[in-house]
Amino acid sequence: MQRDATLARRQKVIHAPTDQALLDRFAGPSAEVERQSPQRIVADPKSVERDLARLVLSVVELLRKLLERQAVRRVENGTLSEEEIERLGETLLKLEARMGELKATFGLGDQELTLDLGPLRDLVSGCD
Amino acid sequence: MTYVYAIADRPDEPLPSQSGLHDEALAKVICRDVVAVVSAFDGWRLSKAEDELWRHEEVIEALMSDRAVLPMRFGTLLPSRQRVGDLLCEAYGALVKDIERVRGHVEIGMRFLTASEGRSEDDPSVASSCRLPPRGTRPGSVYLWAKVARDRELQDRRRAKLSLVRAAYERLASHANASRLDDEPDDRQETSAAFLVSRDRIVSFREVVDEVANAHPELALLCTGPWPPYSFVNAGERATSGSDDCHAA
Repeated sequence: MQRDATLARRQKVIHAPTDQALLDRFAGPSAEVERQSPQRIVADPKSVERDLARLVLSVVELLRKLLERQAVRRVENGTLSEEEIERLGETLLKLEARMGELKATFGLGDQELTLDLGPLRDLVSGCD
Repeated sequence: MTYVYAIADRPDEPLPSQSGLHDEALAKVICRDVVAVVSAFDGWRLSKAEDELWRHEEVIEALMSDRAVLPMRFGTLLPSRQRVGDLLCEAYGALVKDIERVRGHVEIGMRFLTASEGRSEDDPSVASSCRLPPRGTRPGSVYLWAKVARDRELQDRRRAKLSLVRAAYERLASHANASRLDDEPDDRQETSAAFLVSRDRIVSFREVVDEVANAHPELALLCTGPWPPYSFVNAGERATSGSDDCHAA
């Protein structure tokens, strides 16, 4: 949103949607999400456990989504038997449930488990 | 280290009075009738902070006021002015061609969103489509087939969006001297395009943008500019990025 405001101030906007909600979506991740992203652990004794959990769970969540993505591709390609689909699906289902429990334990939301992987981000967003 | 802002013609023209990043003075590195505009880089850190990006932009736009310019990407660094000069001379022919190609032109940027586009895995409209009848009744199969259905839905949406975007893009491209469509963005940002437009056709291009927006109410367009022709620099970027001893932040 700040970026768009700066563009407007510098008279760089030629055409923009009049719908503010649409305009906001052009702004990309909100500053709040960027602030919450686990770029580093703050060495504060009060928050270090949660920050560490956030970092670890971010990596686990990334791997979980990659596994899920790979599983979907294998199903699409028809390389799995029904039994294999069931086993894989059950594993992923339990993993997702367990992740939900851990997130609740540490009071973490999905947006807080976002890793900025630069050019690799699409790999992850494609798993959504 | 030497920070490079742009490569331009008319090396004898005075540089803009403003300073560069971190208030470093601007300087010229000349090879025949081509000049690179640079400043010292004494190890300070490039942060991509908004004011630094705009300072880079302002230097280039000031140069564009009285000469043809090949803008360099923010963060273009070379080890020394000597190296900048060597690269200018090595790529001289290609640089001159590039300068002629962009002379009198600016870049207009465009970003596209579809009105129904979801960005979150919690997008309820996508979630509802996952309630397709699953194959099998066991929990693992139901879970995985729901993911497959959701994946297909997202792919269908993406294809439909790209079809819309391409139609709009083609219409706009027909009014530009050159254009580029990035329909495979490498992050979760929206599809984007860039158009090389003659300075004296900016107003008419703006009218075409309005027409396209009206013709495609299902698309949201964010059109910005005029910018230096960042997306239409070939030789300058090759010259600097082809060097082993430079990096872009």
